[in-house]
Amino acid sequence: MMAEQDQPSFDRYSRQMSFGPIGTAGQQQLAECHVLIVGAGALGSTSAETLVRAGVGHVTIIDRDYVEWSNLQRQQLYTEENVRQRMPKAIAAKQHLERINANVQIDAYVLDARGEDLERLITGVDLIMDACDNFETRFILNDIAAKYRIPWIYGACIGSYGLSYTILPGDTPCLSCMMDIIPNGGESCDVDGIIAPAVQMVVAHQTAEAFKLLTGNHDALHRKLVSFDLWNNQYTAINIQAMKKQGCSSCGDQATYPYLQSPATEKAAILCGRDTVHLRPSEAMKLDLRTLSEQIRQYHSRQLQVDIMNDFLLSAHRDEQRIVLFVDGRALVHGTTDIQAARQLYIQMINISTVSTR
Amino acid sequence: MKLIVNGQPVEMPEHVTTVQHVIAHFGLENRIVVVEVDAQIVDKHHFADRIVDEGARIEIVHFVGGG
Ligand SMILES: [Zn+2]
Repeated sequence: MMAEQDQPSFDRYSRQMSFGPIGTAGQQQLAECHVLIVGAGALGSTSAETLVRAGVGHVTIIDRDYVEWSNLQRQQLYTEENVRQRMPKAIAAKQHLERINANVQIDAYVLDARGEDLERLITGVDLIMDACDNFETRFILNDIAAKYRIPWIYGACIGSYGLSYTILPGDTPCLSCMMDIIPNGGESCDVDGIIAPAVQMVVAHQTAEAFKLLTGNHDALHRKLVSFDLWNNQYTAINIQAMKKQGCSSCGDQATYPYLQSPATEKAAILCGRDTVHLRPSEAMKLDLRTLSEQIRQYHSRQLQVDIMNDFLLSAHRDEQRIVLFVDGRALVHGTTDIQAARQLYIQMINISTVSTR
Repeated sequence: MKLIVNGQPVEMPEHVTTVQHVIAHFGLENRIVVVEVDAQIVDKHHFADRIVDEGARIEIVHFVGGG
């Protein structure tokens, strides 16, 4: 039995409720809100921690990756133990967040967010927090937000630089209004590095905007595209309302939501600067990793060595290449940027496994 | 020519006369950027013909994808 003073209560939010614009009413509103966070890397883990501590009632987290050593410098929810266990970020985040605030419902999904996944998870969501590490997913997210008229808060960073913008469907320009093509990978490349304060600054902007939106303080919204460079001491804000396009294919009168139309195809992407290829099957699978791991150990141990297996993924290596295979059939192949070589290793793994389609 | 770029005074080389030149000066010519000159947003189709004057206040934001 916990003593009464050891039980969490609404009092935990006292400092936030004493903040005039939020107050007790705003706190109640937060408790009734559902926020979807797309990505659980640096931006996502920081954002999730702030929202969960603040008492947002329901938080859903999507991420396709698992925790590695190079994440710990800035991805504040993760630990060395998570790295050793190769925990998927979404799962590790959920576990950590539940220890921070047990009153919040936290749902975690290990997946590469595509249109159909987001359409499934969007029901009841009041706000989407962008914590993606690539533009491709952001354009899908932008279409979903426009289609279901849900606000989303763009945020991104590299080096000591970051920027943010709050997109309100039917009001502000959307991502497609701002750029007519998906920028190529060059700008999200890991080789440029990143410092944690840049992450925290972006998330500070995003979460402050989230509080304003969720507590009905719309008049306080920034309404400008903000950017900063913490190393070069620059701060900028631009009013971009004029960029809103009437004929925008994502948010205009005749919107077609082009990024939700892409057919389910197998996909391979080189993860810039990470010496890694991400492979995604055309259809989600449900792999029996335990059996697969046994089969590799018994019959294929000369070509493949299993490093670790948990409920969510299996990590194995062949020479310099390491493959991390997820239950849903996706894989990260490390130690190469050669898609053909990555695919070859992937197919070898899949052929060993007993595949069942979800 | 002296400009105020993102709040800081910057001395520009002689050849810089347009928004496009300013963007190139900062190595952002292949990036997706939003530019404001003296509190007016400049359409990207006019970067090359929008002249910048001495002392102009220019804000440049470039989009990145990392996170
Ligand atoms: Zn639009």
